Amino acid sequence: MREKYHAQHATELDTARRSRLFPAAALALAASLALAACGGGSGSTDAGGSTPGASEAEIVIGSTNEPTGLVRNVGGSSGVSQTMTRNVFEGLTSVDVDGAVIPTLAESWDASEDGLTVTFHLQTDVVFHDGTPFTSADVAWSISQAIAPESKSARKADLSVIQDIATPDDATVVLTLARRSQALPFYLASVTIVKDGDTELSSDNGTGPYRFAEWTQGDHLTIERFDDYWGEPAKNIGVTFRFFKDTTALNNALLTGDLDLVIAEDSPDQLVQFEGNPDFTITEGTSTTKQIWTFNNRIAPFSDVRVRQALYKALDRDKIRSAVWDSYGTVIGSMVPPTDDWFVDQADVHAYDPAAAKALLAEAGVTDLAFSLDYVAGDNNETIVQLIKADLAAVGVTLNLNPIDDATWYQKIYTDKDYETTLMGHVNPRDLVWYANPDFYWGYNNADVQQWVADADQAATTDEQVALLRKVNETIGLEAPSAWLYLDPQIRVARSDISGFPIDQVTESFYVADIVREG
Amino acid sequence: MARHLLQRALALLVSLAIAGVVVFAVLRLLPGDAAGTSLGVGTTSDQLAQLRSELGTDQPVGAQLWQWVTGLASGDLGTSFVSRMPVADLIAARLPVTLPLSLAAFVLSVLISVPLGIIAAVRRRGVVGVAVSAMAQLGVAVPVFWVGVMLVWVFALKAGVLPPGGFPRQGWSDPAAAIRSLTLPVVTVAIAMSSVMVRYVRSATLDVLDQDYLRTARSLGYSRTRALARHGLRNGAVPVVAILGIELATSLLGAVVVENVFALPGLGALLLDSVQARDLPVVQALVLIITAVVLLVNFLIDLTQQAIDPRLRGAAATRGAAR
Amino acid sequence: MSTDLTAGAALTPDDLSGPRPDAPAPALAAGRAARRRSPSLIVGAVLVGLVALVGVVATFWTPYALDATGSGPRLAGPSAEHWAGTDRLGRDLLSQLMGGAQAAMVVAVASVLVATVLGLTLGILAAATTRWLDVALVNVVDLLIAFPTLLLAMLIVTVRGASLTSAIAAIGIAGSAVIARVTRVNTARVLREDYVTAAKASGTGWWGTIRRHVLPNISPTLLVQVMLLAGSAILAEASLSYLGLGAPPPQASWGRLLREAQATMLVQPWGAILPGLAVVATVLGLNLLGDGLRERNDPNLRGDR
Repeated sequence: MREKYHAQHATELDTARRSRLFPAAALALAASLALAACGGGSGSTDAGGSTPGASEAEIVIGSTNEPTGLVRNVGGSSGVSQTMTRNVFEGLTSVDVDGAVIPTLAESWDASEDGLTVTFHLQTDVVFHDGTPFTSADVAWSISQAIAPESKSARKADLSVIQDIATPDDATVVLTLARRSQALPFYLASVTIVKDGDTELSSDNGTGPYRFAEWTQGDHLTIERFDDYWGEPAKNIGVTFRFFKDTTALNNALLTGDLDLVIAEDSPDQLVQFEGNPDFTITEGTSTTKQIWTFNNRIAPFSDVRVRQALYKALDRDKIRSAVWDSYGTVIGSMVPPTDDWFVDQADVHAYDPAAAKALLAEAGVTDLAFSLDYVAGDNNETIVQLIKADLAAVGVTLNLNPIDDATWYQKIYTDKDYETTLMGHVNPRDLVWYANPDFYWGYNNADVQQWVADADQAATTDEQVALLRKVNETIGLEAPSAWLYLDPQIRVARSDISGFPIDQVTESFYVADIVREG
Repeated sequence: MARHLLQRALALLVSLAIAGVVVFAVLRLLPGDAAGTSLGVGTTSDQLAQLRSELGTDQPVGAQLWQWVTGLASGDLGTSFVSRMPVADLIAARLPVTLPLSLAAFVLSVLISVPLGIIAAVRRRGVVGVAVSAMAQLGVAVPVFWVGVMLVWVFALKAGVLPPGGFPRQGWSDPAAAIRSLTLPVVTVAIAMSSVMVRYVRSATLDVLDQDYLRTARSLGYSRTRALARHGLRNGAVPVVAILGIELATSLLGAVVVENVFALPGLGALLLDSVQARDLPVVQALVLIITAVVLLVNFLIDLTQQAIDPRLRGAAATRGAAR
Repeated sequence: MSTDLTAGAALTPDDLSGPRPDAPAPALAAGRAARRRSPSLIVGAVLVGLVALVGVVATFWTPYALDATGSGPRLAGPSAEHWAGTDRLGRDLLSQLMGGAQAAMVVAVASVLVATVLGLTLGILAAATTRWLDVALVNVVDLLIAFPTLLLAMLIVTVRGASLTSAIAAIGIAGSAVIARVTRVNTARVLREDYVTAAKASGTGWWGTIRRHVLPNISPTLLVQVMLLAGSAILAEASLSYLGLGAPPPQASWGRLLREAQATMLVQPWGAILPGLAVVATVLGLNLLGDGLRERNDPNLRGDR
């Protein structure tokens, strides 16, 4: 598995998918909060924090989320973001471990009255890992690469709000925008700055607290502390990410002392071997991974809101959650996790009610309903689909299960939209806005929702924006374009002498500079 | 002899070419593509098209095949669609794991199975012979990965004497760590492999023991051991060489499962990952190499058998399939 | 190695040498051997019979439903309610093991059937028709044997989706190469026998020769191969399931049970030990059955193999 959350072995496909779901639009929301929040402190959710006098050690981290390649701005490939962003490469801004946008290579920025001109004031004492000083030319180059016609960045469309990049002096960058965009600082966090002229494929030369040392594909990636770092130096001398295909081998390595930290456990059962063992610390944090059974809203009978609501009411979501996660995880009733400002507890809007489900189906005039569920084969997914199938059978609906692989999912469901229902974990923070895109794979088309999301993006105040998004949230929660099942927990296991790692996983990078081993 | 050699070599090349073309075509019929798996959700169809054109996967299959073949002819295995690294580099990085694993397991198996097989045949009705046969019978029936899982449980998790998996970051520049990490995988493979071999060696030895010349030798006063050593080994070696070759080739293929159990970054893991990511250049290259190695080993078995037993030389046509 | 069918279905020199000229006719040999009971045959038949019986029972009844998650506590050891304990989802392990026996039997029978039909056809065609077809088929079979079985399975699974049928197709096709090889050699030998030549001269047609002389003569050797192939098919299915390429739940599978249980070896080792033992017992049974049959075919081998 590629990302943080679930899955033994085969579910890696499913998490690989999730890890890449990094939508430009979704980030916009986070960004819109960012302007207000800029300057938010770092490490606010650290485990333990750093201890003075901690020894300078190398930290070995186990992960199932290997980068597919070192190309940074392709799609939303989270393997490379998780290991490299903020650690090796930095943007003008960063998303901190608690989700707040903080200034990084830009010391500060200010916007004109109409919001169309944003001026970034850069840090002046920054050098690249090869010793070259960092200037505004590097910023202009890197941003222009991200919005170039051949850019494959998932944020390209949103960054295209940038009309012009000017560099009046070495320490200033002025961006001219086509329209007001409060989301801009958030997007810019994903544009990692490389040297003027360096291309995506060739550069491993960044400005971060670590320099890239080596990547042995299929095995490990090592970064070393960069001694001339402009900011607070890393608290360890280097980090190696070791990559595994499943958590079995990963946990074995942790048990036998080959690893210091496992980023994500994918089932509660393997925790038993660490519980009550003084050598290990288990942390439970929040994630943004929503397990979603989604309908193809374009086609009958799913275009009928009553059918969708009936199918949602037919599910015993808490049973599904506990089958996979035992006592962990949270049942959700829409796309928004409780950590977002526009969260409204909607878990009971379509609470488990088979009788109501039958009644709604009858009202919709649907009889002998039978359809398929395409899912990426994997242990947790298999558990979930079995339970969905049983719940549907109880209300007279026949579900045909169709296991496929990750690449097939991308083509059949995401690209060709040739499906009836599908199961997917969506990892991205604040991806509620995908329901405003009628061309997205689930094809939910509600003009009100689209208008509210657009308005929220250009809202003058945060309150106005939150109010709009809350309306979006409540509307989709009611209309059930998807059946949101539960939110994954973020469970990490570390050796007990390791501290300083983020507990929650609400960003795409895994910031390692605060991790220490107590000596 | 030379003509036969040439014929066989030609057949080998033709087989390989056919396999290459078939695999190339079949891979392009698979649903999903590398552009999709590497860009993921959030990209537009324009961006997908852009990447496909950069990778060349939007070209007609014939043109792609031609490009691949001309690349091969100049020794270029191509570039990975996903990591954008040269395929040859990716494969080369995995060889230090898979090659020592396969070879060590093979050598260990030969060292175990040849003496045990002969003893089992000579003392076939004795306790030792029966015990060896029974062990072999059991070893053949055991799933390789289960042996691995059990060994990890006992030696790594319970006893803590060997690592449960993985390969040291320093690779072979830390030989002690590398050897430790390969110990359990090698034992795992060797248990399965030597069980198969013991049965062959025993069977071949029994055949030899039955032969008239051995009876004659014994009637001339040779001890059984000496008679066997002088006359038997050469004859018994022919079928044994065949199975050794097959086992050597299979040990490369079997790597997928064993590498999975022990989380080793070898060729098997690369194959599994590459199929899942639709990294076709890597899959093509691996299939070609594995198939070539197996065919080549078969070819070498032929030659070795003929060297051992010159009588086999005329019989090429019938023996072609009767290895 | 269990992933490769050619090695599992161990060919011995005897299989390729066909009926020995001086050996009694198969029927006679079988009769004589049956009177002297072979321990391999008996042990093998008992083991295979037992697994088959469990498989048949599992088709109609298991202590708990195969998809009954939470029928007991998670990862519990053996108890009165759950004789073999439970897995990570609280499913009854004994029921899963029984379901696995059914899957193993289905895969063994179906893939051997595919392999036999395909292999027999290819082998006889190669031996009994023109030389160029022979050469072509021999090379195809060589290539098939050289081609990684696992990759074949991965390709089939990718196109068709992971299911029992996909596994059967992959294992059957790979196994057909072994059957074709054995069939070709033995058929060629039978066709060279004097009585066959005589039969041909007296006007027996091509099909008549195959039916009356070739098939009866090669069937004892073939039967042995089929038993060994069935054993390798079960090993191969377990490997595929272990790698996540097998049939998804609620279809139970020994290989998948193992994969799931290995993550929790320190908590509930039975989950990994028992499915492994089940595979060993079944494959051992089939191999012993094959060896026993071989002894019956050729009394000279009595007690030797």
